[in-house]
Amino acid sequence: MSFLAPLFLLGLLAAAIPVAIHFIRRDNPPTVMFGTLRFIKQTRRRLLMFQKLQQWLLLLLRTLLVVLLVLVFARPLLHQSGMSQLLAGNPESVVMLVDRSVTMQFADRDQRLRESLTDSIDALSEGDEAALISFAQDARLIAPLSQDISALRTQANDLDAPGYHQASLAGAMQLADDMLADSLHENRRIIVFSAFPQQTLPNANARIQLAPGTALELVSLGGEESENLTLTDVRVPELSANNENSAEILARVRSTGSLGRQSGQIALVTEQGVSGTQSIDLSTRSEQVISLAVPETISDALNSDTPPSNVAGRIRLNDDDFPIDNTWYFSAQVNQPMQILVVNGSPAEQWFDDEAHWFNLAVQGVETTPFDLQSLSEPDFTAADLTDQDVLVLLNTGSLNARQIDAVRDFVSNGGALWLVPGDRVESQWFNAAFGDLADVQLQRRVRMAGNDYRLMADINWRHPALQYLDVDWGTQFNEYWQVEPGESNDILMRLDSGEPLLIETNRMRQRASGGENGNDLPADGRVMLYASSLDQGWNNFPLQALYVPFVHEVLTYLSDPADAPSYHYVGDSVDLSPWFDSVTDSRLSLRWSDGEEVIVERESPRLPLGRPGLLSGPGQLQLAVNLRPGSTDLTSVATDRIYDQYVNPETEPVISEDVRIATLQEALESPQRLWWWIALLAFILLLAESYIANRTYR
Amino acid sequence: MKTERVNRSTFIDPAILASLDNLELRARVVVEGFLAGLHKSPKRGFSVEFTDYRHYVRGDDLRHVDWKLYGRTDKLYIRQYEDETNVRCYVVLDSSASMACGEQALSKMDYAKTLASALAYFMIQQRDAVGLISYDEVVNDYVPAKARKQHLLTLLRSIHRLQAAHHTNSVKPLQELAASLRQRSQIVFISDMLSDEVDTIRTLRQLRAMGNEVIVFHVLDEQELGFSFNESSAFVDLETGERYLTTPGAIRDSYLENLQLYLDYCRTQCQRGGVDYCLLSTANPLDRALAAYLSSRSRLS
Repeated sequence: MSFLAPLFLLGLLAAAIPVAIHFIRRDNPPTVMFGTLRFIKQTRRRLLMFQKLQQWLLLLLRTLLVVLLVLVFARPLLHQSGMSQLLAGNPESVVMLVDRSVTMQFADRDQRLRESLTDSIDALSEGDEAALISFAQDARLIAPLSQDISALRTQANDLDAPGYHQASLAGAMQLADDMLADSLHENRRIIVFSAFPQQTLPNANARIQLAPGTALELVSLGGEESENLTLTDVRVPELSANNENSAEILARVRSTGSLGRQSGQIALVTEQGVSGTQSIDLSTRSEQVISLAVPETISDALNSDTPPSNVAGRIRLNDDDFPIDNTWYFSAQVNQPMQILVVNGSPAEQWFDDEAHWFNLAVQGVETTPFDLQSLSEPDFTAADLTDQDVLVLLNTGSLNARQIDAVRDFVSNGGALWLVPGDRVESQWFNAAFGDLADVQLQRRVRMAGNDYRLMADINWRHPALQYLDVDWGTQFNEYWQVEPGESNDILMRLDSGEPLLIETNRMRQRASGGENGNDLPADGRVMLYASSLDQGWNNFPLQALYVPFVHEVLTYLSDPADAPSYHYVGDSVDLSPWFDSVTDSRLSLRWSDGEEVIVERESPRLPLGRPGLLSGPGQLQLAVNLRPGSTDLTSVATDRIYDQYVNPETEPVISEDVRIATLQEALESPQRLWWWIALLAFILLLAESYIANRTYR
Repeated sequence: MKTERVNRSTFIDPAILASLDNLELRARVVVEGFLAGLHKSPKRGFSVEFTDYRHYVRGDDLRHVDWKLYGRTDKLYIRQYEDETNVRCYVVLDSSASMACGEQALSKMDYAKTLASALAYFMIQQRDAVGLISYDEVVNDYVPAKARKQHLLTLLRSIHRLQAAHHTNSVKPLQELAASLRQRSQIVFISDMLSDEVDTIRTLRQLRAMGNEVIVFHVLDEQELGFSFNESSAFVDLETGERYLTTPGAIRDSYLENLQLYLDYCRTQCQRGGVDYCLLSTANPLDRALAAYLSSRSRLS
């Protein structure tokens, strides 16, 4: 035990006061001359003994009280295990960062890391505190700062094998620095066990500096000689069914070993077999882009009557020192043409009178169109026409009968998209009755500008997916348009310069939420838009604008909402599988890696983190290609002094004197113990006991 | 409470009495005050009574000739009175060391001396013969019983000289007194009776059995009766000089219990032997003692 304020212990001399008083009074008691002692001496012996005992007890209590009060002021501090060494030696707080990234899988790096880690833990002396953090893409705390070294050793032995993520040191450094800010000791050290690939250098945005005085020790496990070719990027072309496909896959190959490997073989592997084997020659450059032809078997399949919706395969390099990064998986989605049905409200023989002329021209008049357009007149339109359609465009249709309207509503409720373009043939009353609740919009009146006056487009929501690529000036002049009253659930995507809405999208989620009890009965799923002017030249000059075609294409694409899946993911990404749960009734989704390992995804948490490379197949057409992040398998190491310069703070803290250090440490150790509280409490209890006994005892 | 207050106002507090240095004055204050309280008492006027005439013979004191009778009869007759010393009273006063006890204004000795003085004064006033025996281990002073007024001074002087000292031996003086008594007498025994009370009371009872009127004034200090000490103290026995350190508060109950046993013993033993017993605290006014004396005296006459 030691004391924060040992000088107060001099006060222990005061404990002699009650003892002295006791003896002085015992030696010189007041004398009473008395007639006889016979009655006094006849008193019971036990009474006298008890009285004597009480006197001694009181003396003891009073002495103890003084001692306790002195102890309270002296602030005692219990020595826990190792504290003496702590006070005597120069203990330090150490945080160990171990690299669990993919580069640690190379050769015997992991084995060497474990040995170095064990050595470092063994080198810790009693009183030191240490923590263990593993890092790859993220930092993960394995053992918090603690003086329990044996527990740390156990956790170090149970360290997971390195994964497939890239190394990112900055986050782990930050975590370690934060932990050391609250460390027990002034001596702080961070030890990093890593091969220090290029990614461990912090980028300019994530640059951090350790706290002044924190030492950094870098244990480099890299530096071996290695020959490695890496596929850093693969571009699979967009594959469209029944269309001309540019059938070339581009693969970028780079040498990432410490010895520049210059040659190798690359091949495309699909279900149909290996094809397009080519040689790589990196003798004159650092990387090479290889074109691999899509095998004819795949082209044929795409042009067949039942084209596949997905084409999966992998690009393979021949074996080198580090085979993990030799395969690139891809799963390319085959795009199907979007089916568009136009119901023309005022068809005409003459193109300039035909309502759908400009629209059809915009959809089909380009060389390769992703749309499949079908145009009908109003009377010809039946429910059967809506089968397999993605988007229904009602151009100036004002006389659909009830059955046709019901068909439209069914179509939307089954997920079909609807684009309403009311024109001069539309009566507002009829329209509101037919589509008012569907689009959550009420047509008010037609506005025709006087003379040559016109309105311009203003306030366009550029962030909307349908409009994000159309961020240029629009010179369209509107002479005539519908004044509409949008419901609360609508998003206004375009407004005229008068503030009136021009392009409105019905927000289904919001419409359901505000629909109250009947919300569930409302048509759902399909996207619905309303354009409050005409798409021909009748009311504006939009068809003559350069933006007309992209506008129509973007809006139709947005409305048809084609599935847009990337051909590959990286390790560390997480994929939202919730759309796939729509097609199954199970609460869980079973997926399987190409090597047979099964992954189960629950409906409650549909996001799947991708932790390893490979092809992941699920029910139906679900197929995910996962690749190592480019550059993550770079086997070359950064010079450790560069890392050191990046992180270590050039400022140094003044070295505190030993006395101050011990005093500070003691204070830090004392404060959680707070023995003086308990002593003060005990003194208080003793005081109460003393008062009680003193009151009962005759002086 | 009311009686107490009356007593306090009527009778003289011993503390005030203590301020009077002169024993005679003290005695007079006590007695006069007491008599003033007795102004309608039927006892008043008992005194030397005329009894008979006899013929004058030579040598008789001419002062006793009844000259009025001589005028009528031309014969000399001597008036005969009842013996003017018809009551002989002996005050036996304990002057042992224990009588010095008393932190208050009056020590037991002072109190006893005042009491003896007052009794002597009172008796002389009544023309009773008063004698004094003071003793500790041995008889210190013996003043024979006389009724003359001048005798009071002798008594007072003797009382005044008394100092509390030495051990007590009450039995011996009482036995000596018993041996010397030739006629029925009144014996006033003033003592604290703290040692050998058994033999003392036995001797007193013997005196009573011999036909004497015996009254015991058992004088104890107020502290002895109440034991109201607070502080731990060394108690010193005044007679033996023995020291005893104790805490009074702790033993108070036990002390009072023992004391009560002792007092009960004294009282019952005295009463059984026909000895009048009067316990006096030094805080009590002396009047009580005088009243007790009177009641005893009345039985004798």
